[in-house]
Amino acid sequence: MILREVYNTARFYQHAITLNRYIPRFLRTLVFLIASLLLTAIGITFLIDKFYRNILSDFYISLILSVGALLLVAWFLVLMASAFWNSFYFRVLGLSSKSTQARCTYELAEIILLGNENTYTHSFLSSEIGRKIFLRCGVEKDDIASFLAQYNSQIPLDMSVTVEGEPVVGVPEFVQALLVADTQLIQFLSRHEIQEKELLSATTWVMRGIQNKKRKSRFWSREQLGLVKGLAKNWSYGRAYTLEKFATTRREAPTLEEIKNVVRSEDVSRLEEVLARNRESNALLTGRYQEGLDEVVRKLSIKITSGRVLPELEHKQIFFLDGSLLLSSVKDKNDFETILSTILSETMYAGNIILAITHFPQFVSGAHEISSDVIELLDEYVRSGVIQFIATAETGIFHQVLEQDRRIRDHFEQIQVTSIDREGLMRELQTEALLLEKMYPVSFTIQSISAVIQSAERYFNAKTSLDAGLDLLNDVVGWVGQRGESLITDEHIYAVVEEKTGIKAGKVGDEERQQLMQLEKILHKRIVGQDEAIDAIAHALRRARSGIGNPNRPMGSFLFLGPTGVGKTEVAKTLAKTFFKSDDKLIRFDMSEYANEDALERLIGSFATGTSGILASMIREKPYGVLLLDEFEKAHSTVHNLFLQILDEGYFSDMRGERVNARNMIIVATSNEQADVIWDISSKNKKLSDHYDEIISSAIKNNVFRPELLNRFDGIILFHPISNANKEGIADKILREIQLRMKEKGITLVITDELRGVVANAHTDPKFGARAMNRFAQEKIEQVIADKIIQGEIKPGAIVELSEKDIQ
Amino acid sequence: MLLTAYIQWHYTRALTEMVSIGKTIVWFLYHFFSISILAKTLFAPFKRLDEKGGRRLQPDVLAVNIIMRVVGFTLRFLVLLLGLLFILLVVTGVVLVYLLWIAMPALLGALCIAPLLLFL
Repeated sequence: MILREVYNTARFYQHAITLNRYIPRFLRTLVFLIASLLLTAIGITFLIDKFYRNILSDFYISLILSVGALLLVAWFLVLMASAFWNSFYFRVLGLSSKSTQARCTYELAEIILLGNENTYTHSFLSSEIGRKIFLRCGVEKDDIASFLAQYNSQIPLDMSVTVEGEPVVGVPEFVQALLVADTQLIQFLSRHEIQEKELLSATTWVMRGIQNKKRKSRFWSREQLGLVKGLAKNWSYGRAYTLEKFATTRREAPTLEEIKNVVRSEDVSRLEEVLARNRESNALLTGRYQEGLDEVVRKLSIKITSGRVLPELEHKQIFFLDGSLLLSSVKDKNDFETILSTILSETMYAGNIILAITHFPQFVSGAHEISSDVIELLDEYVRSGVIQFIATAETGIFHQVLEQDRRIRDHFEQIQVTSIDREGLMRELQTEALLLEKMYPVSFTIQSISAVIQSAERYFNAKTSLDAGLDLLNDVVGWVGQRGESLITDEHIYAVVEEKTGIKAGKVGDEERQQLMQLEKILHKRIVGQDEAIDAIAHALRRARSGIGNPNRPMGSFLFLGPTGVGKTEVAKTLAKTFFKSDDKLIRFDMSEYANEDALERLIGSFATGTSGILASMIREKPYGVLLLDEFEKAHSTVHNLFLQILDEGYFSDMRGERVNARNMIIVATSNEQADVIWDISSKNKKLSDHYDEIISSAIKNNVFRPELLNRFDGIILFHPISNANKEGIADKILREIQLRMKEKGITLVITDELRGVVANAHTDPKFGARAMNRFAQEKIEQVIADKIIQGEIKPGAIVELSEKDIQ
Repeated sequence: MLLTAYIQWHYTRALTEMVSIGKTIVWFLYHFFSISILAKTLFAPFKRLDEKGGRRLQPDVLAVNIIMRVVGFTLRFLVLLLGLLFILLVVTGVVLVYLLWIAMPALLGALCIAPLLLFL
């Protein structure tokens, strides 16, 4: 259909819309209620007079009956008008468009018929729905009015408006066509920083809200009546009393929203098909619990309760067996097997139970520890098909424990559960936002929902995107509530994200902009020299903050090469302090401790011993920060392989096969490798950057790092040995740190040129870098001051000035 | 214009929609009273509560099982009866409303004239 035809299509609804314009819904309802009340009163009066007391004269009786007759006419007329309007209003609900001649929705017709075919955009923006959609985009009524006042576009009417597979045109398709046809509208959007896809998403969101309301108000529909739970459903099935002690099931009736989400889910349909088969109707779901593995089973349970399920599964009930509870409450193998057998025979006898066992591999392993073979115990029931099973397993551990078992392979259909896609996520979050808006005086913009999705995917990978998104939505409601605001925008979401993670997201503010532009200066306050390193890091940080970096990799990854004591570790610390605003955000590993064969197990954990890995635990504990890997070259080759994946994908799997996310970390590996080469080049006063390739090739030739590992770092940064020019600067920095510590004791240390010179000259062996100066400051200056404090020569409030002689 | 459109709707679409609503209500009652499952398991023990006996006939076990089946039958039969009664009522109601709807324009005319007749 082309845009020009939409007007004619909309005329299908013209009579209903006209009727509703003159006698609106609330007026019809009002007349209906008043007429009903009066008719009842007249009826009662008439009956009392007729059968109880004859006090009214014939004239009054005739009058009452006449009024009654006219009221009845009004009552019927209102009823008929409502039925007529309803017949059009509910015609297209997105469900049954086949049976209707309507080619567009009622809501679209209402918009279109506001004006004529040359004023589509005008009609859209003046309509109630248009205003609602733009409010979702954060545009107020007044802005729309001023735009319309100067609007003068003539849109080309030969634009197509039908989306493939949709025989009925709705508001979203219409808006999509307007976006192609109307440049003035697009300019209006860009003035308000609204992307086209955001307007479309807001449109679908608003329309979904309206459709939901419509569906609910149509109480006589099969959809609504089907929600009522019937009588005597379980009279024909037995109960499994022992199972009920160790399992949970869903008893309450599902809501309409829950059902709609379930009906669309592909994974649920696949599970349903497997369970409805005649034989081998057991399912093994693999995937990630974080991505809603259990959720699929729960959704099927909702689908069954709602009655919209294949006939084979009608009246079935899914019980979730808690394997760990069962294992922890038995004394020994015999006890376990007796209880499990009772559960299984009761389940079989009940006749309508599907047994779901979550964390199935763990259940099997747990039972194995008390020498019991769960799979063997279940085998008879599985093979004969008298009980249906659903087992769920994390993919990694499934491969380790179950994949090789024939009994599982033969009788369970494996279903790989996929994670929710962006569109699904958007839909779920919009539904949740609507619920929150009903409960609290807030309203969400579409940009805020997009920000929630982005943040959930980027910063909260420990949970599913959906869980993280839902949490974020709920948190932001409380956050704006405390500040007395009501319209939730993307900036509110980013503020909450920053509060939770310490990472700045969203638009860059003025103060932050200044800070980012002067990052090099800020970093130089803590690091003396090393200009190339500082430049590279500052660039990486700006890239990360602008949001253009790859979200599927760590925020930044660097390999610092250079001699000892030149500030490699200090740079990493400064990075934590500058970017994450805290020294605590640094996780430090001395990789020389991970040089043996057991290194990998110590880092990611061991399935055999059940111990968790230190790297996995640390990153889970502090998912946002700097991961510093000192002396990286000394780590075992298996550890290097692990980091191949971390640097590339931004995550790794721990011993349980669960993902550990390192995408919100800046990874810094340091190494003294090639220090000699670097030293040689620097001592000849040559620029390190000119010899970059030479240094890297030498590291590869020595088999320290493999080329593929080096390639995965965002940057390999070469650190210069400390030059004479920088010596004084470093000495000054060391002395200032001592000065700061002494200030806390109330003592003022005066830093003189002489003192600075003494410390700088302690840098006698350049191969030890600034460490020599640090040691000197500790052993000499701090020692002298400490002695003087103990001897009582320096007291709080004193001003201390040290000469070269004092230190000698 | 609106009136013509209404009259056309009144005698075409409205009538088919009425039948479809009637069908939905019957469908609802059929499921609400679990008619198919109750009919299929009319003589089964109530909630599958029965005793397992040995090979020999045990009068007490037999008695319990007979009682559970009788209880099951009675309750199911009552619900079935109630459900069927409701369905019958709805079907009758739909037929009456259908007829009333067809006669509605005439009925409204009569109701408008009736007051005049009362006073004449």
